[in-house]
Amino acid sequence: MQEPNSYFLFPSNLYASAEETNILTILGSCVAVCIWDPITRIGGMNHFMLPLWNGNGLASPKYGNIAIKKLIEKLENMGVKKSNMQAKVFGGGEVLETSSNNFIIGKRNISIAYEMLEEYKIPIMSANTNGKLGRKIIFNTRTGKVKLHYINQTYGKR
Amino acid sequence: MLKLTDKELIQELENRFIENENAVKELKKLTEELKGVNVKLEESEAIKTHFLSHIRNEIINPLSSIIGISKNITHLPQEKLYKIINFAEIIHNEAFELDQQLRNIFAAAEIEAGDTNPTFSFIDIESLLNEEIETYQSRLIQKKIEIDLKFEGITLENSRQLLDETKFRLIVSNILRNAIKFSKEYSKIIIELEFSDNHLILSIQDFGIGISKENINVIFDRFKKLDNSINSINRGHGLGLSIALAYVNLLNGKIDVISELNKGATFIVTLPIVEKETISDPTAILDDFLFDSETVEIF
Repeated sequence: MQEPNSYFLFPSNLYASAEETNILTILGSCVAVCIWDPITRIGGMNHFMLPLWNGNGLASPKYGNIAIKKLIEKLENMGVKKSNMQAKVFGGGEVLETSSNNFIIGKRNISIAYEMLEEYKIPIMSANTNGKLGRKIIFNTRTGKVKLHYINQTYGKR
Repeated sequence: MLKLTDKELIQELENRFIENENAVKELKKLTEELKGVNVKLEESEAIKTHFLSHIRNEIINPLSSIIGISKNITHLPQEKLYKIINFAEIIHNEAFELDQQLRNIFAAAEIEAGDTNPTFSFIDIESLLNEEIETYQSRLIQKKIEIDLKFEGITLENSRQLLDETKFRLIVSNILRNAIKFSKEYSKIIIELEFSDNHLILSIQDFGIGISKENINVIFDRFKKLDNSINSINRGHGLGLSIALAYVNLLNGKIDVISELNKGATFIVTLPIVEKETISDPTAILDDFLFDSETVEIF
């Protein structure tokens, strides 16, 4: 059996593929949303660092509201119907000490993911969020399965 | 039913008060943010309209002059062939301008599409900087600007670093371009490169018109030009710095700006030095999953 391609997803980027691909990423307070279609077996993932674009800089998928919208659009362009899409949400840990901050980035990242997926009526099949640890995840775009592995703090700065 | 002592009750009430206070504070901050976003949305609509006319100027004007001048060359009589050098220079300048604009437009489109994974390779930073300066030579001569290079402590060995070449070039070129654009005639630009604490620090200082305090925060916004008049002598459409910042962030670095109105501006780019081992290698991560299979969860 041939090994599927691997793709390392950097923060602020997104990737989707119709070929079987293992999309890997490392999450700290960032959140990654994996969207998969069980019919066409096409899947994609984003990796955003902040919840909302506030008009600063470029409107890039560094921001949750843009990253989720762009991922859905990209999959739709690849022929996936929105009604078939299923989502999985990961990350949003509190890897950096933010006790003094009222606005815990990780939590806000998670909540924007939930709000937007609900708005688009995409069901969340599973999620692994919050906590104090960073995560490595591998998303297989053919099977829709996500493997998750906790990592210690020093890696989880993103 | 659990019985609470008065003390516990008071404690609980106090806690609730604090929580309430925090919630109000948070709400206030969010409302402030929302107000800011609202203003920006209004602006963005106006900018969009402006953008189209800018693009038209930026792309069609250079193209027309390239077409016009090259046609002139083909009709030049034998005795005036010496003029070709001047014409070629104009064509080169216009084409160079166009090239820069298009590079920025495509880079912005890629960043906004989330398609900007960095690719690292070993490059010689000193020669890269010299090459970038060289591309602006004719503009520098035109404005009589002197470039002062300060590469202290840079050796043949440490000048070779792992960098994303295309992105670093565009970062340097956009900041340098601005420095030249806003410099006065007969002034100078100081370019300083140093390594400290596992970071590469590149600072580009001009002595031009500078940026006021209230404007420093908006210069990185897309399509933002502080001088928005269409006849402005300064070309470009305000994408350059937003691209530079997005790229620097992607490479885990930061840009600091020190400036005072009419005294010039200094842009300081700080990037972490990348070690070969720390580059995220998909196969290494996959190996982690194979060897630590008992700690892997499947969703």
